Amino acid sequence: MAGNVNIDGDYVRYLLGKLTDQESARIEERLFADDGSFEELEIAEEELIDAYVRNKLSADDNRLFETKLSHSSRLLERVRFALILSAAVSTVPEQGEPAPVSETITSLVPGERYNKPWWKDFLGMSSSQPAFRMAFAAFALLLLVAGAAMFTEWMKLRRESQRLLAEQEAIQQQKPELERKSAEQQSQNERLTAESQRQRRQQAEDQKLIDESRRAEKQSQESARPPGVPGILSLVLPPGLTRDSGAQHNLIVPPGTSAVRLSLVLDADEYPRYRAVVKNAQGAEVRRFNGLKARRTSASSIIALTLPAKTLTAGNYIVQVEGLTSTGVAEPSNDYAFRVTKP
Amino acid sequence: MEVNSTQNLLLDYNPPLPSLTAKAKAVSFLAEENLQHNGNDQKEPTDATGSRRERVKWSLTQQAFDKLLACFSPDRDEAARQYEFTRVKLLRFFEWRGICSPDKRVDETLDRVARRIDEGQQIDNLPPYIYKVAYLVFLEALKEPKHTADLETDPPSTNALVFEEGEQERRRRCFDRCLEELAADSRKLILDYYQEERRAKIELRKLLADRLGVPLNALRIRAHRIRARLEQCIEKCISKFDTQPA
Repeated sequence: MAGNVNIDGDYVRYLLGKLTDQESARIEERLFADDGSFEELEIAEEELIDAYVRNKLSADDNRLFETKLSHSSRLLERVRFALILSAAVSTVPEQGEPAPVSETITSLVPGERYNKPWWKDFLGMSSSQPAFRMAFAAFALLLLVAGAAMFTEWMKLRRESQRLLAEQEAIQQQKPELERKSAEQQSQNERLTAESQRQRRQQAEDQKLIDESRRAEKQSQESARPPGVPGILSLVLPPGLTRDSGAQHNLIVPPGTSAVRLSLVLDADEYPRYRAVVKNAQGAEVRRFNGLKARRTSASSIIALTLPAKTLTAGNYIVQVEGLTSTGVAEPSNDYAFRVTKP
Repeated sequence: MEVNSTQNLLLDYNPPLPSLTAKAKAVSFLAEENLQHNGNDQKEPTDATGSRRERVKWSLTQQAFDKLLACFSPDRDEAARQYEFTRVKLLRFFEWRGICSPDKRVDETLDRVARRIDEGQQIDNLPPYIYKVAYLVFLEALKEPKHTADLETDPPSTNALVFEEGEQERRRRCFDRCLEELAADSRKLILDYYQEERRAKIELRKLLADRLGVPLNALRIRAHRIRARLEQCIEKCISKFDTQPA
């Protein structure tokens, strides 16, 4: 075989049909026997095509090549490819090292920008650097994870916000009720305060009366009071009213009596405080007592009232007792009846 | 010599190839071959003169094809690979020789080789034998009037190189896509390798070869293989474009 054949030159001349039949047969025999030779011939074909595309063939060679070209669709396709490739590489910068591929890709066709989707540039997918791509991939993954976490957190906050809003609405709905209750409570407090003040005044008056009664008693004992008449009369009253005059508790108040003490026996001591009103037979209030406390005896609980004797004229009387709850609400407790007789 | 059959004119068909004598013998061989029979022969109709001349045409059987593959390699896969590569070589041969319908000539060549093997001919070195048969088919093709008419009357035309509207854009997109599919170093190599217009070609390629640490010819082969992959990719890409509805 022709071992000293100039590969490029002979192969190109073979392809153009410029070799003798014998020279051509020699090349062909070699390319059938040796795959490497066949590849060399294909490379020579590429170089011939590139020379044609770059208009570097002589007029004669150009004509011969176009003759081949007109009878081979495969060759035509390769020339079309070479045109695109030539356009792509012709825009690579001239100076220095070969330009980065990413730059080259963006200017494949002269005067036209490589029309890639914007997101490929954004994501760095056009980069030829594996590290750069890896970094972008990691960044994208990080964004994804962070986005998912933020979304979860946002959902959580949204649920919490909705819950708080619902609570606020509920509170808003309850507000009038609470305000009403608060006003009631305040009113109750004011009432209790006023009651307390009144009781203190009453107690002061009572004390004053008691002091007067004591003084009067002393005077009567010393002067006008007959011997054997007590200064203060005491009467124990069980609970309940009776119309039977005979069964009524009668209190004879002799002249010179300064005060009458009524001991009201309770059915049960159920309240922290009590109040009592003494009324005559006509229902007129004779005396009112507030802030009373029950006193425990061995048998029962008793509320004690002391009235000036002069406030009691002869006649029937009732005592109405009400229990006061811890919130100041008055509830009926017991009624008592007695008769005053004056000799 | 690879051929053992004394009936075959290829016995006299020694290198150097081809000679006028060889051409004459080859034509004679082809004429003789058309008169032979075997179990797969088909009778052809009478000729134009009305005389009933029986011409038979051999057709490829599975058995003959299997025998052909076995001659390439005992390993079936390797045999298939070599068969396909031989087809490509044959195709290029007929193309480079300027023969019309190269596909048909390739089939004709391989059928004849398969027939000889099926008939019991022992072939020691298959590729050169195939080339010799291909050369005979080439000579036969040269005799066909249509072939010479094509070459002599059809004016060379490069109109086909003018891209249709939108085609250039499709090709450019395919090129970009396929270029991106290449590995980064392959992409860089092919773009750098073909920058021969504006740089001193030899110097540039030497620089590339030095950078890669390979001889210049290895660089040349490497660039060719990358280019071949790129071309195949673009071919597939364009065919996809073509099959897509407008």
